[in-house]
Amino acid sequence: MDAQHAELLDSEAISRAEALGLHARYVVEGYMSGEHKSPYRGFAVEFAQHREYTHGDDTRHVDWKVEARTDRLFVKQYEQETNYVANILLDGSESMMYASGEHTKLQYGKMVAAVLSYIILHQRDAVALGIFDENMKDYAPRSDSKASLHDIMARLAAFDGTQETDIAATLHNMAVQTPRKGIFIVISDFFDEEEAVMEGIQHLRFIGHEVIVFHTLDPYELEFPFNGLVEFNGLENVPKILTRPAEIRQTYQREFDAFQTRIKDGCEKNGVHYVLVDTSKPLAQIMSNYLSFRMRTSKGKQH
Amino acid sequence: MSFLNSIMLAGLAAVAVPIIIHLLNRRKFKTVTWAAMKFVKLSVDQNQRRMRIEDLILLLIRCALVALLALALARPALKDSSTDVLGQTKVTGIVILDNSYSMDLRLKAGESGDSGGGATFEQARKAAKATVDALPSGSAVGVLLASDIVRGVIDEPTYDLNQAHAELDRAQVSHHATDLFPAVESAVNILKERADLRKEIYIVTDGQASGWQQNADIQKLIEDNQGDIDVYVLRVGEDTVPGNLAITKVDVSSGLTPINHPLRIEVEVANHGKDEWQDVTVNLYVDERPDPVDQVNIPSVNAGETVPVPLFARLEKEGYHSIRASFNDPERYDSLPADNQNRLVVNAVSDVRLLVVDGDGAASDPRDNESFFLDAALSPVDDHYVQVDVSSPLDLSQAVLSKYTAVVFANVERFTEDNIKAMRDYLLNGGGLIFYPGDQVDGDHYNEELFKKHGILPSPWGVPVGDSSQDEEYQEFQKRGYEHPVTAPWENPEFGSIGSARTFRWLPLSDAAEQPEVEEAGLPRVVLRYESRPDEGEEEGELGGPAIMERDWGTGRVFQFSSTADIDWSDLAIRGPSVVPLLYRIIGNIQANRDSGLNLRVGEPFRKVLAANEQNKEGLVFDKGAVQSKTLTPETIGDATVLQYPDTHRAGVYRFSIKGSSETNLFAVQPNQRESDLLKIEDGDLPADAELIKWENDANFKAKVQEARVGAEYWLVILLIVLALAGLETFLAQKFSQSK
Repeated sequence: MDAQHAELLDSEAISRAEALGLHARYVVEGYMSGEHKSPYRGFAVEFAQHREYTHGDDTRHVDWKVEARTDRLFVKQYEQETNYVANILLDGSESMMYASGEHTKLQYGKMVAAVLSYIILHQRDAVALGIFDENMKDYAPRSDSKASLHDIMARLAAFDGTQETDIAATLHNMAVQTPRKGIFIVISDFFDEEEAVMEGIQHLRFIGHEVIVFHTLDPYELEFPFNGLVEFNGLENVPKILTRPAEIRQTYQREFDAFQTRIKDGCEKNGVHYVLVDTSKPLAQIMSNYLSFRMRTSKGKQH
Repeated sequence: MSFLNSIMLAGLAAVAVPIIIHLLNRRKFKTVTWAAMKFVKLSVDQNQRRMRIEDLILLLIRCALVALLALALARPALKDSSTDVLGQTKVTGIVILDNSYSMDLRLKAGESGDSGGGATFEQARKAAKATVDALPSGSAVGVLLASDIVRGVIDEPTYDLNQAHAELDRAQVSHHATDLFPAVESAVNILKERADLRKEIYIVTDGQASGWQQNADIQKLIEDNQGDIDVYVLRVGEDTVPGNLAITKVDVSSGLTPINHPLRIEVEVANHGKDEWQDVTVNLYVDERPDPVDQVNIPSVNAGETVPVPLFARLEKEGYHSIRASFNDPERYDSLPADNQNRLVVNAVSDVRLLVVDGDGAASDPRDNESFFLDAALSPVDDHYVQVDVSSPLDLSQAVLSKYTAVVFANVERFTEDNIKAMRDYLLNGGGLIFYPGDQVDGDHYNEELFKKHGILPSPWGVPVGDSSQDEEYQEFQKRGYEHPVTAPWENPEFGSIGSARTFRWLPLSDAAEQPEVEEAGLPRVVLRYESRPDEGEEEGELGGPAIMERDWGTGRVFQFSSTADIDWSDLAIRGPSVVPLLYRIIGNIQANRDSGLNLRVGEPFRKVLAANEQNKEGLVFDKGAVQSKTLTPETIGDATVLQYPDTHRAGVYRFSIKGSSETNLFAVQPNQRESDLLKIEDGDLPADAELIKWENDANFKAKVQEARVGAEYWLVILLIVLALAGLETFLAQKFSQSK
């Protein structure tokens, strides 16, 4: 792994994430010999062909209807299935380029995406990565090969955001293009039409996908700690605003809280996990908090 | 509304400062590249209007602060405001206290609540102090003592009113006359420099008419500054004009003061009252001895009349003597003591030596000598106190000349350069020269050398006029209108007549000739003029050109005749009684010029020119009247080193000596006679724009002064508003900057 990739993979985060593991919230189709629970484990979900029984085959797979007709033992063979597919969607619009500190939201989002990819692939689940703004800018098709990690890292590292965002369109598109149920992980600041975004999420949920929202925000966006006379030079082609932020801080914080609450409430209403990613906090902390939460909640639903 | 410091109104332009700062601040901002613009815009939209209004409020307050501060500094005032909500506005006042000697007039007992015998000046002092006391707190006051000179005892108004009291306590009556104009003028000038709302001048005076001679000018001054400076005339003393008899003059007739000769002293008694005075006795005292040396009785002095009387004194010793003329019983005459006596100091000499340089000395008949008649007239007997030596022009030198009081040049043709040098040195040391023309005189030489080059002659000599060989055509001297001190006694007919002498030929003199630029030469003056023979039926002829002129040169004096010393061209030399007094008076005038400075008018500084060997000596003046002495240090005036004593404000005899020298000089200071006329100005004749306040008593007076005063200043109120606004600004700025 070269240096650029290493930057994206917070080794501490990865080690802590590995320890906890990533548990799918809902049972997804297919399995690999992993820890994922599948209601169809060992059963043909999609029949492929018969083959003659040989010694050692599980008798449960013997097709007794064929034996009755032909008096020979055949076992059913099923299509080889991957485990669940995690679709990681990273918002690469220009608003994600903001940074008050060391990392832009995009950089932080890339780290989140990288860490998640690593963990998921490590568990032999499949990962698909999409980086979007108005459109899907870059897409790494699903793969359960650990070798594809390199490809994912490379794509993440190479991306730079310049455009306005259209999250809703991306979500709708993905919903249409991905009929098989899986996990959608959306990493974004959600500086977009909130209702449309929610509709996109609802669309995914309607199809049956699990959706996890990583709401990535800069601490300055949360606190608005500016003083004096400041000209705000908008990313994404918004006109400049000259104002004294100290005098409007309370209004700003109120509005911003309301925005965050709407996103969060919208998520909860739709059964979507909402994770606030404060780019000033250590990534490992955020990831382990979420993963432990996820394990707790999914255990209750396990058989 | 007026502004006392209107230049500060320019400060209103500073209103632009907060606006400029505001605009500049708007250009000074941080730029932040920002993603969450939506929320900033939402917040700004919600607060923009409020923030704009708050900005505007703060900006308006700051502009108002600056504007009001400028306004307060400009000191706005309402002149006719009578409200004293803020206390009386402070005043800058100048008290002009009349200290001319008419203020020394004694008041009658019981008058005006004062004990009798007190002088008007004491009342004036009280009035001046009451005026100071009537000033609102925080006021400043200056004090000027006014007579015909102005003494600014506090000429920069002080806030220390106690100092003003102290100076008023110290003030004394001088022997000056009154002229209030210079004092009012300097008070106005002092006040013009001040930026105050209420400027007031208080003239504390007895209302003597002579003090208001320049009434029109005073009125104009007041008018020109009306609205800015208020003038009050505080009138003290009695309204009635008391009679006043004064000795207005004491003088030695001839100007020569030989010892052991009777000296004729001219004394003038003037009646300034409305009533005739009878049986007036004048005594003459020498050296302040208790018994008079002479006494004269004047049967009657009519109202408005001035009577000259001669008195005689004999001086026995050489040196300085004081002579005093005084009424026999001063208390009888009037209540103004200052002019009931008058003093004179003379320097008595044992003899007066004259040198006559005769240009015609070789004549066979001594009567043809130019000097014959001069010698005969001036020194009639061998042991006379006037000694005449005759010499020829060649003998002139400074060493020779310095022995003589005066040197006469009669018909001398011309002079060598050495002669002229000797003349110059002689004149520089206070000598006197007298020039007579004659048939030998080289007019061009005189005009070129003595007039143009050295400026010694008062006038150039013109081309000879007239024919001395006949006795039909001639000129006489003027019969009246004698202005020069030498000829002034002939104004009195009892002194005899000088006008009848006949001149047949003369070298015309001019009092309008262009004067040479010689530093030592003073302005030429006409001593005596010719007068044409009266026409048939007329008593008087017409005044003609000068017959005798003189000028000061250095510290000496030069006389110039236009006709001869002998009888060749004129019969003056044999015209009986007139020639001798004329010559004596000329020589006396030269002597008096040398002694000048012995008799000064009040205020005229005493000066003693130090000789070369006394350059570093200090002098000492003892003022007998005030019983105080003062040390004089040498000063340089022009080329000379002099000891100067300027404080001759009291009439009387002063003693002067050079430290380390046993010799004591005297000098006399004579009061200004003009002040003896106690006539009062009518209230209605006082400057119309001045407020008249009459003295009745202390408390009443103070109230009157305060009543007359109106006006209010507003800077303090504005400053309080400024302070309140400053507080409000701080509060609002803090409040507005809080996060919303």
